[in-house]
Amino acid sequence: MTELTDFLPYIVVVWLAIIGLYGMATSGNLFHLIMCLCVFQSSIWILLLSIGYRREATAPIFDDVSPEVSVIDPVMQALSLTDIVVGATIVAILLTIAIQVHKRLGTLDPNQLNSIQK
Amino acid sequence: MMALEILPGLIIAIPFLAAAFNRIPGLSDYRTFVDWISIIAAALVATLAGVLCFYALESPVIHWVGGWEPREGTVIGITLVADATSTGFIFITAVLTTAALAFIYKRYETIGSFMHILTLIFLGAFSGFVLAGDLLTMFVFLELMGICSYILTAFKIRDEAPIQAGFNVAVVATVGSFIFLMGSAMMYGLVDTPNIAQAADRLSNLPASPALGISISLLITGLAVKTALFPFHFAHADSHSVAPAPHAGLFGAVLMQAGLYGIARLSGLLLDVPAINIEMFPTLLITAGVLTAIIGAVMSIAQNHLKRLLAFSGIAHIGIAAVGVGVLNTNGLAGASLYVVGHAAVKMSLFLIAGVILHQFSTIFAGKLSGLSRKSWILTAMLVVGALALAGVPPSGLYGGKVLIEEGLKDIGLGWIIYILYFSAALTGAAVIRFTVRVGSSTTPDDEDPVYVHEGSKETIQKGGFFYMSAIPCILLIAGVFITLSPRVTGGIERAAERDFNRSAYVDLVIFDKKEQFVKTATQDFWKIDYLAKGIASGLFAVGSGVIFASRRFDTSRIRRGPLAMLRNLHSGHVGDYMTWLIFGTVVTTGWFFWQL
Amino acid sequence: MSMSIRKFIAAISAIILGVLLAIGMFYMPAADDEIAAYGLLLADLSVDERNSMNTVSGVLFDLRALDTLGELIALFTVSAGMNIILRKVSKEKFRDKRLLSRKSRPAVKVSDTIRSLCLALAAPMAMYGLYICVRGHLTIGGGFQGGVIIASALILIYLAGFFNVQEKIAHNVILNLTESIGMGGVLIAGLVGLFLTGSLFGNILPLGSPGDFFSGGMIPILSVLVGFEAAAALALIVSHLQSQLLELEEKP
Repeated sequence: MTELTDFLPYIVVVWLAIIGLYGMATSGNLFHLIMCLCVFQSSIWILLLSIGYRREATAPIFDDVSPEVSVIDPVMQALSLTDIVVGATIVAILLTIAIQVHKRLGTLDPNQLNSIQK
Repeated sequence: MMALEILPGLIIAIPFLAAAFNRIPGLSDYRTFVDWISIIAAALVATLAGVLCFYALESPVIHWVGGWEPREGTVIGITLVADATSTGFIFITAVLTTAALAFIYKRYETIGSFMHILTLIFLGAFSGFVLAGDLLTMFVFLELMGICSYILTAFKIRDEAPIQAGFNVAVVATVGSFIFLMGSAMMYGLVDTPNIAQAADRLSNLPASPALGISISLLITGLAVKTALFPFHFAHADSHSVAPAPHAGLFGAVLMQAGLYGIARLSGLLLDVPAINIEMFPTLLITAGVLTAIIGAVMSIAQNHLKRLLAFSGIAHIGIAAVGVGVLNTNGLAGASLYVVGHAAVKMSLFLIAGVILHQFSTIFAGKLSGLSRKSWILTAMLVVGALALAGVPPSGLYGGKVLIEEGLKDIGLGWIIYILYFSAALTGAAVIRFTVRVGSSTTPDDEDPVYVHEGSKETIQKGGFFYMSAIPCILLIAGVFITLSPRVTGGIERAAERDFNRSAYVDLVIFDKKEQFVKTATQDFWKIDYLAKGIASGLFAVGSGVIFASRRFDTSRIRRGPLAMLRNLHSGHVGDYMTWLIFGTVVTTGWFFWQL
Repeated sequence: MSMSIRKFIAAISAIILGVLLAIGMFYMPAADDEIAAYGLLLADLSVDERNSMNTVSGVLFDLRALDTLGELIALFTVSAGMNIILRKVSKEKFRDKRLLSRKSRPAVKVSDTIRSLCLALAAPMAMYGLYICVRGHLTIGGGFQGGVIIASALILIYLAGFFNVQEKIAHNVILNLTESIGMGGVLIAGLVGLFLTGSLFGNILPLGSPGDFFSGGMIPILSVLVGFEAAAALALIVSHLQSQLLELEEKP
């Protein structure tokens, strides 16, 4: 670690990760909980992008720059795309299940869901 | 051999292709056709994996996706590592998937062909995860496997519990995969490669740093969440108890075990480096495994809902297998493999029996069902045999696995732990015996028995087919009971474990394509008198305590206070509780690695 | 566990976890040139050996195609899961279809501005999505991005108040068929590579010259197939969620 500015994105990562987790643990509404999951996921996107980042480098697309130019890591870019798609599918599936929870159990408050007791 | 080289690719592609084919609209009107396509695809995967396993025992097959082979010792593409353990595991899963698909043949409600599609994708994702030698690919297929399990958990949308359990498991297991991704991203940043073999190679020159410790602990935690080890098991127990019976069987038999496979692979390759104090890992994993085994077994005996009973029993057995992985030597790993194989067959067949009972008698609550022994002696006999096999009576696969795990534990001087494992395995057997005795007697059932899980509606849409449906679990049960008798299987598993444990051989194999020959080592003698005595004793204990606990005095509805009631209260079905446990467990694991660095 | 205990344990654990993560990440390598050799190697290979100017596409659709297959199947699975989890159960029935048309449903009031804007944008947006799909190997773009844009063109039609029209253009049968074709196509492309070159997703097409439309081997083909699949999956997800709201009601 050479400069403090290198460390700043990681602070954001840590902060988003722990408030996302804390929000999921203490949420009182399933839709709010899904949003907390999104917050947690976005911490990982920032982590991926900060790991792939390199100083004074451009996007890894060579259509208008010469191939000698220094670029950032395309693997992390591709992985964050993968991660965004996977995250979107998870959110979609959670939203549908939350709709069914509301239909079957009549509430979205996890404190009042009682179909599994002990 | 050219033909062998393409098999790993085929194993991944076939189930997905069959799933894409089944998605064609209008095809689901021809139910029999869809059934057969799915069964053939799964059986084909089983055959290919079996062939590959046979050859991979001698020399593993490496497949580079897209033909991107390593250049000058630098890995480029994604690799599929088909060694005996991975292909054997795929073989087991494909056989169980074939059994599940044969079980839902014609009679199950499948919503067109969507249940077939999800089952096939589960198989394909499983193969992808197990074969992948690349952390990022592992994440993708781990999560894909998870997505199938969330949807299948919430499959019975008419009941209330599947919906709630589906939500819980989707949240918890997703966070688990994302923790895994966090760890693999940090590992990528540190060693500059996503390939496991290359990472293992480079880690041996890397100095110890907190970043490395945190990264590996996040990888292990993410997989432990998927494995349902102690503080992470709550949502999995809910999920396995409410999914349709064949899929609950698949989850209990192979889904959790996939996570354990990941832990075994990563701990063998990434932990055994100078920068990390490997000595501390067995303590962590064995503690988690023992706690999981005890909690699963105790919870299992306190259930009236057969699938929930089996779900907790699965948790207990994954704890036992985790101890085998945790001892970090060849015997332990071979024991865990054999244990997982034997357990998979037995657990799948017990879940399928639950499916048959639900199909035939419309309920699987001990309080509502009566006179099973009179109505169907064959189901009763199968339940008793399954219970004895779970308890570890010789010659079941669980017995052989425990013998090997005991040897492994003795090697690191913790031989006494095996008695705890025998005890919890016997308790899970007792739980099934207790259920059998309670539903077997023809006394009028207790109407006041509280319903803890709002699940249990019928899964089938047609009557009949009792003998066809009970034949499938019967075959699996026979396979699971007699597996230790085959020296070919046990010897093969021991040799595969030996290869798995050799880190430099794996690195040479993947990066430099050097195939090391392994000499055949002495195989374990499973038939020593003290092993046999322990196995038979735990069977007797299971039968005895099962019969005693079946009496009305030990009815679960009477447990209102005491430690058991507290333990039951922890399994509250509240997603917030589960997430709190998850954060707590992550902190413990991460802190442990950090402390020992 | 009561809420106060949960909050206490979760807060303490989250703070400790945050400290541990922060310490761990503090020791991550800095953003220097020496590190990330793997990513740069893949960028070079994608340009030199696949003639794909967009190296992210090169990584996604050729060098690490198996990851992309996994994420594509995640979309496929979730849209199949929609059919399962949001199916009609016996307690529910379909609303009268006529109630859904624009005239007879006064509940949905769409202002003329929004309607004309949405309708005007829908077709260009779909074309733009297609453009993004097919040029993924040349410049910024790719299958997933294009697919999302195509799917949002359909949402624009819905926003304009034409739920019926949207349902006609993107009927569930059509969407499921597109999914099947998209994913089957990707897999068959991979399998053809497997049988001809001996490795899954092996390249079998000529590479063309860098910067040309027909270049990059399998990359543009996979990109287009992925685009169709992603568009169909997202449209299915949206249409299932809409039909929960608009079509189903509890039986009285």
